[in-house]
Amino acid sequence: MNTIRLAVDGVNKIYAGQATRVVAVEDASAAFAEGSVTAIMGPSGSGKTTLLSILGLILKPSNGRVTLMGRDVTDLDEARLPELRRQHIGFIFQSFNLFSALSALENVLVALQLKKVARPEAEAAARSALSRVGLEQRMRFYPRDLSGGEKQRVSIARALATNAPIILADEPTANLDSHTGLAIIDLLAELAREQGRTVVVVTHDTRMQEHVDHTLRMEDGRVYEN
Amino acid sequence: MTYPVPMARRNLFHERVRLAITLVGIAFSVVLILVQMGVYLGMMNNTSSIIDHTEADLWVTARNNSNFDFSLPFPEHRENTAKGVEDVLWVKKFILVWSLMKLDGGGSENVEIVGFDPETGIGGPWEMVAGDPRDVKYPKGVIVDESSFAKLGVAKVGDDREIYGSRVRVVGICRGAKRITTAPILFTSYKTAQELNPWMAGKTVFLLVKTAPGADVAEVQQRLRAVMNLEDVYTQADFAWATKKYWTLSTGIGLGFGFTILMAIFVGAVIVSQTIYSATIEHLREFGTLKALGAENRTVYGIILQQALLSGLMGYAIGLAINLVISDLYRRTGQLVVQPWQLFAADLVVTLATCVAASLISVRRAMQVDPMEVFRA
Repeated sequence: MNTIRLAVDGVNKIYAGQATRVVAVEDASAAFAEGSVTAIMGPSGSGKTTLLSILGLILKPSNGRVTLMGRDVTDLDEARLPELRRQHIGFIFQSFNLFSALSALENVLVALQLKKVARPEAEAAARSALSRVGLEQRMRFYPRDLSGGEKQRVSIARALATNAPIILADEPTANLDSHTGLAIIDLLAELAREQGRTVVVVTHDTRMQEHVDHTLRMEDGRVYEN
Repeated sequence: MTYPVPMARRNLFHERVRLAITLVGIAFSVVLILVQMGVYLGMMNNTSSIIDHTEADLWVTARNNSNFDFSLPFPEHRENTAKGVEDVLWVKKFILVWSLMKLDGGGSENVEIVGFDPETGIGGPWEMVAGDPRDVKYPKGVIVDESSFAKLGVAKVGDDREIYGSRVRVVGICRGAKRITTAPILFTSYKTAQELNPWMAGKTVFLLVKTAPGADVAEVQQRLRAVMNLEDVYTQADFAWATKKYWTLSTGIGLGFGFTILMAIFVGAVIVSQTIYSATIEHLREFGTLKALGAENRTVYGIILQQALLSGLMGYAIGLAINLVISDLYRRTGQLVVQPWQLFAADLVVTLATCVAASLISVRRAMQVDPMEVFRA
């Protein structure tokens, strides 16, 4: 069995207002191993993105435990989380979330800059990542000049370049046509198999199931093994 | 390729219309501050120019005189009292009196007549265009400052004019003695100044005191105060300051300039804060993404602050260039514009501080960014 890199155990996320109480995630437990691709599926509002935010150390759970690289990070101080995200987690977003004022190459470099990678290594890693996703001819292009599929590839290259062992993707194919979406799915699956990355994908895309190792279903904040 | 990637600079230049609006706002503020301060300092320079150019350590005036231009006379025999004080090297009588000059084409003009000692030239004009300060020894000889030409008509050496029925002869033209009162200024001998204004007989307006070499000016000032208990005794710097203070605080000048300068800072701050804030709102998702990628809060704030500082620097540079043109136009109209390097440095500090303060609202907004923002479609 491969090493577990990321896990949640009995996690809840409750949003409590003055008159309302919304349970976004309820008693969720899951583990994500090295070299695996896991899809989290479920209807809108089922808590998928909230769970992904907890896995990405962006959101703190109301209770339960989160383990990253074998270390319990649940109660870590907020100030220490950015370092963990930089070192261990790469994100891929549904809306790509590229920096509009930066070229494709610079968008990737920013992630390396945050990790304080020196210039020669950063440039080599960024170029290599962009080449890996087939954008070697588009490095100088700005997001406005790239297609949706190309933007998502830049987003993937950004996650790749930092060598983050864990990649969390939120609806990576939602804004893409079916052909481009399939290519992105293949790419993410390859990353897991060839490079041993742990890939967790929140998706509505049922085609994803053919390419993943595990599928978790979510409904009303609860997680079910498929 | 620039590395580290200059996000702040890229963000600024990515939205050029917004950048242009920001820079116009800052440059407007910079120009207003520099020109208004330059004109104000020029006016204040005028108020004290005669004091500053007079070789005297101490100024004796009638009691409670707070400025150079409207000082009352006192008996000139008080000169003897001053001369008797220990460590006083010399004492010179010195007059500033308002008078009326008849114009060639009819009508008359108020003039300020300065009466100084022509033997030593102390208190006289310091920059001559024609003639010599000692020429005022010529009977009823006067030296006209060229700034007076606009009101008195162009004068040349040898011209005759009339003051209170007495003919005076122009014996010289000087430069740089323009008064804040805008009244034309004439230099003449102490004796002529008294003759032209009969009520000044036996009176002086100031006593100029030079202390002995090595003497402590403050101590001599105290000794003078002790014996000249009907007059005030100022050091040169204090009298210059008192005159500037009078014109700044006792007239509307200080308030007017101060208000304009405050408005310039305020308008600059509003434009910068508005444009940086709207830019921050548009980049909130990007700032959220940066945080998701592992950026600390200070990195995000750093980008916002850098944008503000870069805007401030560029706006300042543009404002500086425009200021050079406008100041030159002012000078061509005869207005003295004084802009020492300290003014430029202070305006740079004010501009950058304003930009940083204006960006704090944006920093506050960025702090409140919902972490889930990055996942919104």
